[in-house]
Amino acid sequence: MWQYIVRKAFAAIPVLLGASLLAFLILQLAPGDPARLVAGEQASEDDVELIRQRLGLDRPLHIQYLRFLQSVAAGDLGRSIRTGRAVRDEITARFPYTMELAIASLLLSVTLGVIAGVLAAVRPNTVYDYGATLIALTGISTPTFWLGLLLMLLFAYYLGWLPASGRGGPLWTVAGLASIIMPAIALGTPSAAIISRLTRSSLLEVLRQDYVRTARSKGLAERVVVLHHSLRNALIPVITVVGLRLGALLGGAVITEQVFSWPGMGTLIVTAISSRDYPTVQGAMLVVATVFVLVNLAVDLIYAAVDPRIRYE
Amino acid sequence: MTTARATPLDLPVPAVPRRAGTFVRRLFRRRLVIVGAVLLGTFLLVSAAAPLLAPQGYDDQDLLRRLRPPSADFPLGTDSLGRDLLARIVWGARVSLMVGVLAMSLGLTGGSLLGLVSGFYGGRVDRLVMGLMDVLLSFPGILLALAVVAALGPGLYQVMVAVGIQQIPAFARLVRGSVLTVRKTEYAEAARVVGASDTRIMARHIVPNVVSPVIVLASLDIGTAILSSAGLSFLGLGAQPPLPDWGGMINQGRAFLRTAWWVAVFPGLAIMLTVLGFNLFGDGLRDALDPRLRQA
Amino acid sequence: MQPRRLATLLLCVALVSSGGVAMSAPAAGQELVIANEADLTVLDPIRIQEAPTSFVAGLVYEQLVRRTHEGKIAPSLAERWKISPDRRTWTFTLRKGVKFHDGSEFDASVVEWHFKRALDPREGSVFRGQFSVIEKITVLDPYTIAFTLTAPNVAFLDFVMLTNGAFIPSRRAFETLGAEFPFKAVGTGPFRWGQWVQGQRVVLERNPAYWGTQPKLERLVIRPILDANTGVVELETGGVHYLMRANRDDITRLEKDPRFVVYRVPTYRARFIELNVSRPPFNDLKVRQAVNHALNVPEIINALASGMAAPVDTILPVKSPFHPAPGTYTTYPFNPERARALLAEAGWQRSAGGLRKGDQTLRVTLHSPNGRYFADKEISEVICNRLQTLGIECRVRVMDWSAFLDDVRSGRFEAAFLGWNQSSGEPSLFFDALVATGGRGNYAKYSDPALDQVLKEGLIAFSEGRRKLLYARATDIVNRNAWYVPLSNELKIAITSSRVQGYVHSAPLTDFVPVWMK
Repeated sequence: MWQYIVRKAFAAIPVLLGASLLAFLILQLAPGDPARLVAGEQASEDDVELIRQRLGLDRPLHIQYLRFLQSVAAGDLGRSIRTGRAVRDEITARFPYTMELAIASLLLSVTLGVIAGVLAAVRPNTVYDYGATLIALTGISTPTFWLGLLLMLLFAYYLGWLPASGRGGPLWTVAGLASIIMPAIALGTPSAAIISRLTRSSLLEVLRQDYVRTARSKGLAERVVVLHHSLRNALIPVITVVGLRLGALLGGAVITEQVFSWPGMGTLIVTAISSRDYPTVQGAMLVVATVFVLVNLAVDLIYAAVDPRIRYE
Repeated sequence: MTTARATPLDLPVPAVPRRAGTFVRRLFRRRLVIVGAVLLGTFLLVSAAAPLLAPQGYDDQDLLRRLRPPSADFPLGTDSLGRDLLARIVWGARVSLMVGVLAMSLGLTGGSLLGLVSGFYGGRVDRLVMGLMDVLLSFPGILLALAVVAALGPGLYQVMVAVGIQQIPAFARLVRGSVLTVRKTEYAEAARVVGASDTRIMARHIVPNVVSPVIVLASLDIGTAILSSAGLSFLGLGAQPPLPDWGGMINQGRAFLRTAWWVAVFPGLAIMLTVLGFNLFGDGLRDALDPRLRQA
Repeated sequence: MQPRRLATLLLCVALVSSGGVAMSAPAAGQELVIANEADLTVLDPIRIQEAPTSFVAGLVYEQLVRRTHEGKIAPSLAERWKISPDRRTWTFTLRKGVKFHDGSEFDASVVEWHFKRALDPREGSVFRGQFSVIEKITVLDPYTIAFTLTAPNVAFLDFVMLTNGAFIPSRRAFETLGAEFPFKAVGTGPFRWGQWVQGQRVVLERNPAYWGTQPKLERLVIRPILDANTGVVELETGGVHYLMRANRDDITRLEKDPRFVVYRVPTYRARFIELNVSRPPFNDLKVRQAVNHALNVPEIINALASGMAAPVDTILPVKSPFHPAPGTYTTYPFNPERARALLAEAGWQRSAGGLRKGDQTLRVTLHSPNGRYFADKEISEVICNRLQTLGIECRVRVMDWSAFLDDVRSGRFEAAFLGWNQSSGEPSLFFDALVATGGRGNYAKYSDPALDQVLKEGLIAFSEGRRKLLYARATDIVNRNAWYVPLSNELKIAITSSRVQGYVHSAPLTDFVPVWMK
C-alpha cells in the first residue's frame, strides 16, 4: 500500500509542473501589457518602462518562469501586479470561501443525488424512473449561471427570502447560511444529477447480484433489501465520483461566484485575467490545479484501500 | 461545463457490428430518446430555417421598442436595443450549432489522433501523450478554457478553440482505451503477423471498432461544448456583437433581470432544451450501442 | 449585539474624555453601508488610479486643498496659498494642530516627503509624469511650503493638488507599516481605517480627533458589489444604503419608490468615439463629418442611458465653467442626407456590396470596452447598426480592458469608444491630454500646431475671460476637424435609502460628514 501511495504521489509531480508551465505560457500569449496597466492610462512610455523593469517583466521568458518556480518552491507565489499584495495572501483570503461553497454544493448534491437515484432504481422503467432520468438530464443540461439568475429572480427579488448576493458571514450564522443556499444549489445541481444517475445504475447492478436475490427469496422486505443489503455496495463507485465532483465544483465555482459576487477564487481569477495580473493568475491556477490533483490522488487512494485489486493493475 | 463531462461515465465497450434496422428500433424504444430526437430535430430545423423564420435578421434594432414584454408582435419580447428576442434566439441556434459542432470536432480530431497514436505505440509515446492529457485535465472545469480565451482574446472562434482543447483529453482517453482493448484481440495480432503496416492495422482493424463509443461521446460532447461556450460568453468572452449568442444574451439580460426578465430567461431556456436534446439522444445512443446496459 | 455595545461604551468614553463634543453627537452606533463597484486595490496615494479605491481614499486622506460642492477650491490641510509674481511659485500655509490617525503630527516635512516620494522613479508612482511640472519643493518653516514649477501653470491645483496622488498619508505609517502600508490608509480625514476583509467589506470609523466637523455617523461600511443589478437588489433588501450605479430602468423604477431617493448631477466624465485620423478611412475629413452627421446622438443616449448620461456635442464637459455657449462652435446635427452626400463627395459610391471606391469597400471596426463606461457595449452596437444603414460595413469589437487599452494606445484601431474622467472641469485637463500634440490621451496622434498654440496660451493666461475665449476657439477647432464624435457626459448618481439624511449630492465632492440615519 505504501509503495502505491508513494508511486501515485510522485506521478503527480510532473503533472503539476506541466500545469504551472501551461498556466505560465498561456498568459504570455495574451495581448495587453501588464506594465502599462500598472502604470495607468495616463503614464508616459518612460514610466511604463520603469515599471516593467521593477516587475521583472523585461527578463527573458524562461528566466521569468524559473524565477516563478524557484519562489514557488520557497512557498512564495510572488506579488500581485494589480494590488501589490503577496499572491499567497490573496489566495489564502479567498480560497476558504470557494472551498466552503464547493463543499456545501457537494453535500447538497450527494444528499439529493443519492435519494433520487435510489428512488429511480427501485422502480426501474416506470414513470418514476423516467421522471428521475428526465430531471437529472435536465439538471446536467442547465447552465449553472442561468439557474443562479433564476433562483435570484425568484428567491431574492420576488419572494425576498434570501439575500441576493455576497457572503453574509460565517456559515454558523443565519445570515451566512442564508447567503450560501442559492449559490450552492446553482453550483450543485449538475453534480446532483450526475450522482443520481450513477447511484441508479450502480444500485440496479447490485440488485441483480446473487446475494440480493437470496435476500429477497428469504422474504425480506424490499426496503430492507435495498437499504441494508444493496445500498452500501452500490455506493462504492459513487464515492469515487463524489471525490471527483469536488474538484469539478472548484472549477465550476468560477462562474457561480461571478453571478452571486461570492468572494472566492473565481472572482479573483476572473479579475486577475482581465487585468493581466500574471502572478495572481499563475498562482491561483496552480493552487486550484494542485488541490484538484490532490483530491484525485486521495480518491485513488481511498478507492485502492476499499478495493485492493486496483493496486496491482 | 465540467459537469456534463461526467455523463459518459459508463462508456460502452466497442460494439459488435449489427444491422442498422434493429439498431434504430432499439434506439427509439425508449421514450426519452424520442423526446431528445424531437428537441434535436427542432434545434436543427430552426438553425437551418433561420432566414425564413426571422427574415428581419438578428440586428433589427428599434430604440423605441426596447424591453417590450412578450406579446403577439414579439412572442418572446424585445431586448435592450429593441430587437425581437425570438429572432435573435432563432439566429443564435446557428451560432450554438456551429460552436458545438466545431468545438466537438476539434476535440474529436485532436483527441482521437492522440489516443490512437498513444494506444497503438504505447511505451514512451503513450506516457508523454497521456501525461499531457493529465496536465490539461488538472485544470478543473472552465478554468482552462477561460485561460485560453484570455490568451486568444474574446470571440466566437477563440471560444471554439478553447472549448475544443478542453475536450481533447476525454476523446484521447476513450480512444486509447479502446485501442488497447482491440490491440489485444486476435485479428489485430493476426494482421500484424501477416505483416500489415501500422497505418493499415489502425485504419482497417482498430478505427472501425472505436467508432461507436466515439460517436456516443461526440453526441454528448456537442451538448457539453454548447454549455461551456455559453459559460464563456456569459463572462463576456464570446461572439462579438451584433452576432447573437445565447450565453452572451443572458449576460446582456442580466442587467435587466428585475425590469425585463424575458431577456435573460428565454436564451437560457434555449440552451437548456438544446443541451437536453443532445444528452437524451446521446444517452439513448449509448444504451442502444451497449448491450451490457440494455436491460437497465 | 455585544461588540456593538462595547463600541458604544468606548465611544462614550472617548467623547467624554475629549470633552464636551458630545453635544453634537447623534445617536451612537449609526452606520451607513455603501456599495462600491469593486474591491480596493492599493491605498498608497501615489498608486491609486481607479475610482473604487479613490472613493474610499477620499474619506480617509485629505489634500492641501479641496473642492466645495459648488466647484470652488477651498482650504483643507492648507489654510491659504499665494502665487509668486513670476507665477511659478505656489506657497502654502499649512493648518496647525492636525494629527494623522496614528497620532503623528502633520507638518511641512510630511508634505515635502510625500511629494518627493511621488516624484521618485523607484517608488512606482503613477503620478510622476503629471507631477513633473514641479521643479523644486522648499520647506520655509514647519507650516509653510513652496512649490516651484518649471513654467507658469494656471491649472496647477487641478493638475497636482487635487489628484489622488496629492492625498497626504502619514509618514510614520509608511515607516512603521512596511509592506502593509499600501493596504492600510492612515490619513488625517474625518474617517479612519477600521478593517478590510478582502472581497467583502472595508470598515471606516469616525475619527474622534478630526480637526474639522465631526462626522455624525459612527461607521462607514463599504461593500464591493461587482454587478449593478445585484447592487439594486441589495439596496431594496436593506443590504446597502448607498448605491453609486444602477441600470437605467432600475433607476426609473426606484425614483417612483418612496423608500429611496435618487440623486444625479452631470459631471466631468466625457464619453466619445474617437476616429483614427492616421489611417483610412478616417484620414478623410469628409468621412469623419459624414459619421458625425449620421448619428442621432441625443436619441441614442436618451434611449440607452437617460438618467445616467446626458448627450453632448463637445469633448469638454458641459459642466466646465469654460464650456463655450451653444452656437459659438461647429456642430453636426443629425442629418443622414448630408452624411450620404459627404460620403459621395469623398468618392464612396453606393453599390450592391455596400459603399465602394475603386476596389475598396468602406469597412469599419469599432473597438468597444465592455462595462468600463455606462452602456458602452450597447451604445457601440447601436452606432455600428446606424453606420450599417448608411452603407458602411461596421463591426463592433468588444475587448477586455487591458487588451482594449493596448490596441487603442498603439493606434491599432479605426474607431474606439473612449472616455476621459477628471475631477473638475478645468479645460486643460481635457484638451492638453486629448488633442494636443503628444497628449496622454491623444491616441490617434493628431497634431495641429495652431491648436497647440491656443492650448499653450490657455495654460498661462491668468484672466478667466481670456481663457474662456481661448478654449471656445479650441472647441471649435476640434469639432471642425470632426475626429471625435462627442457622445455624453456621464452623470454622478447616488441612490440612497430614504433613511439617509443630510446628504448633499454634487459633482466635485462626496462628503459623508453631515450624513446621519433616520
